[in-house]
Amino acid sequence: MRYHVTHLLPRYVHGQLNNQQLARITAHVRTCPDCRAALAREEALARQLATRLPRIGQPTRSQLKRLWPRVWTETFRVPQRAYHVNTRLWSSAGVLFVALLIGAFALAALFGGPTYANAAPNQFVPGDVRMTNTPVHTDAPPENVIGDSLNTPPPSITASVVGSPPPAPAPEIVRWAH
Amino acid sequence: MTVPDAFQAHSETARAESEERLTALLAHCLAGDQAAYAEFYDGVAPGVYRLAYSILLHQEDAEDVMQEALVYAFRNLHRYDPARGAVRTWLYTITVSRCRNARRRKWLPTTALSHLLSIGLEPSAPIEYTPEAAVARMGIRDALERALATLSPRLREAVALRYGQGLTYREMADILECPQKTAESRVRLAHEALRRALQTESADGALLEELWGFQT
Repeated sequence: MRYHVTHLLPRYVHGQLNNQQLARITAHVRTCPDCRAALAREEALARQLATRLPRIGQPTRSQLKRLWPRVWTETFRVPQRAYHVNTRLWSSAGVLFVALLIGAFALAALFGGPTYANAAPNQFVPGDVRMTNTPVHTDAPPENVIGDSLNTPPPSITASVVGSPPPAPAPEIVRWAH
Repeated sequence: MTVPDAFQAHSETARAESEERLTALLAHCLAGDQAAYAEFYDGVAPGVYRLAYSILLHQEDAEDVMQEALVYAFRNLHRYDPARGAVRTWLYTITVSRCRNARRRKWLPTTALSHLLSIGLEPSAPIEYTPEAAVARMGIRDALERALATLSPRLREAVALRYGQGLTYREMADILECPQKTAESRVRLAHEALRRALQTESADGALLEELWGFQT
């Protein structure tokens, strides 16, 4: 059981006790010299604080006189019309742009097919193959036998496969109508 | 009657008169009377500065806060509502708010640097008992200021409003935007913390003894 009331003394000096606690303190300090002394000390400390703390930070007359023009000038200063940048608008535009960019990439990734490179425009043309779409009719016999030309690729094409240029599309072979 | 109540009682009448005068001055300011601004400044500036200094414990910061608070008040005199509290309460609310902003901006230490530096170090050399040192050590005002510096910002605000400005718990609660019970407990905690700090200030308790026995 707690007999002493020292824990209640700060509440007492600040008037924060209910009637029951107040009666307890009053009854106790009558009989307890220790708590009576402690109460006297707490009251003295509170009185000193209440007297001395208002003196801390007292401005001097010259200090207040020096500060007054600053207060006055600042109060009635007309704000300069500076170039106004609507930061909210610009930040919204930036966010919208980034969102559109991300959306475009996402759509391209979802629905776009694989990308192929076009065939090289300058293709390697073998010297002995004519690159034409229309058959050339001539009465002269061909220099090569047709069977040989079908079974073995022309040397120039073979060379083209081995060589560095990319393989050209197969030329349309002129057939002899017999 | 408890000690702070007794302290407040004698100034109750003066405060009421001052409040009436401020309210009248405020009306004149709103009517465009420029001389009323200066008179209003004379009436409130000392209290506003003292409150700012008690919270920040820094002269230049307190001056800046006082300037900011009064400029804001002068520009917004039309926003003062007498139904919500006294003129001083309104001004102190602005001041406490500006002090909190200043503290956030500067991240002011709540503990004295000398105290922090002494932690974890060897005991300092014995103090020379020269007359100057004795005077410095016995300076109760300085000791109180150092003790205030050890409090947390919230407790310092409570002390500055209760002891420094003599406000009621209700007014404190309005200014600090907290329940009245919270304001009461902050004052009590601050009182206990100040006692501990003053005991630490003089290891032999001489300072506290002097404070207890000092007659003003």
